[in-house]
Amino acid sequence: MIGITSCGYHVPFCRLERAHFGQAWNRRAGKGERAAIYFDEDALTLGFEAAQRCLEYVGNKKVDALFFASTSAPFWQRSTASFLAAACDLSAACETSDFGGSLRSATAALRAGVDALNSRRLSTLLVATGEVRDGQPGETEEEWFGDAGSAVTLGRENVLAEIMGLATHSSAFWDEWRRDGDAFIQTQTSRFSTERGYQKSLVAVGKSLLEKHGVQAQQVAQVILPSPNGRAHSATAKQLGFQEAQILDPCFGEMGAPGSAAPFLLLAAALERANPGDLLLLLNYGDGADGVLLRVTEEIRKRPLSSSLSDHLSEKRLYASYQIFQKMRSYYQDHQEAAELSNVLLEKEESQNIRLHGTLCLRCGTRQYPLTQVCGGCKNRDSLHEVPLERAGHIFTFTRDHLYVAPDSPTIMSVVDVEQGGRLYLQMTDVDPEDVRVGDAVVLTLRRRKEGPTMHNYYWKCRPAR
Amino acid sequence: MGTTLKDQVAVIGVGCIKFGDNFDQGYEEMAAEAAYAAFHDARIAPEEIDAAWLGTYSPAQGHGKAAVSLGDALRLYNKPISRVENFCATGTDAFRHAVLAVASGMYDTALVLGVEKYKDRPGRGLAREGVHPYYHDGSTAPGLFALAATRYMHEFGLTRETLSKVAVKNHRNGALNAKAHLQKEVTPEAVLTAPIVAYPFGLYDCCPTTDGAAAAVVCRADLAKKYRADHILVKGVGLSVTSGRPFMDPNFDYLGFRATQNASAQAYAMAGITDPLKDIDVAEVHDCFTWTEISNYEDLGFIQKGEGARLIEEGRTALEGDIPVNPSGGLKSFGHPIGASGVRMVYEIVTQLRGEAGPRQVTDPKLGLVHNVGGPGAVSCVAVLGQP
Repeated sequence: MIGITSCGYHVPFCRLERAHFGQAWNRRAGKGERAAIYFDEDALTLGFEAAQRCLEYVGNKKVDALFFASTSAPFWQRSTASFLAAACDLSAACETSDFGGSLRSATAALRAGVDALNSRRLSTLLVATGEVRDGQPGETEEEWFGDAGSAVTLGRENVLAEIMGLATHSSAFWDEWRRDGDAFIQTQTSRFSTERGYQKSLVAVGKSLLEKHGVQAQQVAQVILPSPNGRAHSATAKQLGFQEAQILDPCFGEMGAPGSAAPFLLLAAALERANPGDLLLLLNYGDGADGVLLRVTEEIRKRPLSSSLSDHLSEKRLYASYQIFQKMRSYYQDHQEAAELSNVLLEKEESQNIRLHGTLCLRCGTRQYPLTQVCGGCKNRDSLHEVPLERAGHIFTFTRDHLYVAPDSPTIMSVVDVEQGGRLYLQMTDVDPEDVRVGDAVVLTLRRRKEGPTMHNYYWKCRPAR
Repeated sequence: MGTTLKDQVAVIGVGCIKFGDNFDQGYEEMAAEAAYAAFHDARIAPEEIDAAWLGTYSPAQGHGKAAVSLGDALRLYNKPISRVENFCATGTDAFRHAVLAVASGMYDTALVLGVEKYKDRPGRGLAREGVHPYYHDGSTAPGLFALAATRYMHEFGLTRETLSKVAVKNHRNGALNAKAHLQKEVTPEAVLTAPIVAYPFGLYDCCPTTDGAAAAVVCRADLAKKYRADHILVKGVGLSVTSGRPFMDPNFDYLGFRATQNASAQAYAMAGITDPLKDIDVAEVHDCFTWTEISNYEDLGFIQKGEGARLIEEGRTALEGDIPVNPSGGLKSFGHPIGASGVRMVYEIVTQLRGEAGPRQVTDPKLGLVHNVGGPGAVSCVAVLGQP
């Protein structure tokens, strides 16, 4: 049996109420909020957060491939998947691939992954997605889009939802696109686009998948459809014969439409409320459509829900204005004053800086960071062992620094003791500065850091454990 | 460790310029003014100087990192001159080097000069040289000390109200000092309501960014009388270097600074001090931030760890207290041009021991202490000076 063995998602802590778009552009705006990156986030960091959630269940030892899917990966040339594999501390033998170019990239990666598992080339695959979606300033899409990351692992053991079947359908329809060099997504959104693009492709692929497996609409427990606007998914599902109660809420009002991150994010939400034996139909649109039919297994009972998507979405900070939302999206593009990093340093220190390895002294048991030549505890030089450090811990002490130049002052600088030992000095993110206390539980997360004019740069921060 | 240098080296002259926003003085003007004030005070001619040490964290622009910033400022050439840089202990460590060299018998006389010119360059405490692109990104000088203050306050229940009393005391002393950068008293309310720089430090919990220079001339004790009858003797010096990454040391309790504890223990042992609170009559300690002064009380052995607040609350470190601390106004109001500070503290203690401190004179001191700590807590240098 091949199927989903874990799910994860990450919606940025920050949101902008759609009313602010109306104020900024002097027009009517929609209801609700869109998820919006902080200055230290991008598609890679969103994907990393989601991947970490999966690895909390699956661990990183068995994963033999990492695929990354996005239409907004931070590099045109440089594999996000390979960098994430290092950040997840996967082995160099791990297979990495990047999928992009279409909102179907996530389900395209899933299709490729299922084939690789079927052929026995891979045993456990992590597929991560991340999207930062920029509509044309002033256009409706700017408030409809959202930013998020999601991930699933696929494998044969401890399957939560078996993949019963896949279907796909290709279309050259002009709906939304981004040319080389376009900073914003181009659209010709209209009722025409919705009906001839979105609905037509999804209905076609949904019908063929249900027919192929002899499944009637009423037998499906939940139908999962990312929604471009909070409405079209419902009309499309009904055209396929589904009732309102079967249609999963795509959380458009809470986060907007997060592109390639949506399918796995919504699949995770569906699994949170699923029962063994449930059939789930996941449909995904973009230059055609993909469909995935899944059957939930008994394994679902063994994964007690620690928090749900609605809990996750309720942890948030609202940006006070459209200007702040914009500043956070372009901060590093506008501030490239940091020195360019040497690839010699980046390579030499990868294990400590990206894989988060430290030194364990086998004699006195002290775990220390960064890697050390002499034990800081007992001064021995002969019994030192490189080990991965835990990615969760507690605040030992901190400050709210207003002097450090940052787009969102104060900067929280924290000294974090990680579980099982090791102490790091980290910026804190995704937190109200006034809420930080000594002893708070935190998790480590990879975020964008100061970068020179030619690179994107990533290092660890911490954020409250949620 | 080796032998003591107690009473082998004398301070025969000191000089200090007005600290502040010295917009009309460059690095060399400040250096020359301080050095020549010290030469004059020591009644020594520049050519009689055998060797010199320059304490400077940021050398004169265009002069690289060598000792030439001193040589060119004074046109003092063909002499052994070294530059010392050791974070905020730079000035005291330069003094220590000169003392060691004279005590060794290698030189009869030496000049120590501390200079910094900060007001003509962008924000001190922000971008720094030689920092790791990841491990230090986000750190500032107040932020680094604030980490210790936060933990200390968590552990011992110290409040910002108590911290504010350090600022009030040192501003009061600085208001009596014509060479101090900030010669203005502040109220506790002003300290507590000032904008936060790095919590728990507000603006008045922090020393300012200051231009300044100070100098001292030291010589063999047996030759001192040739220059001045009322010279001051060096009783002991100590230097300790611990981790420059205290924030990555899992064994560090963040409740004080081991470097200060070690450096003062070395200096006390040389000076024969067994009860610092009783033996020391006046102290210039490193109050870069208000909390640092309270931790110093403990790390220097004036009082038990965790009880330093009592000394400020009870007024014992005020000018009229039994252990006056920072009669000059301290870094807090005198200013903190890094390399100049330690030498400026030597100037203050020598002035106090000579009884020449005017309105800020403490009563009849015999033994005085100079202390710097930087890093934070990575380096500390201590000197004990006394009457012959």
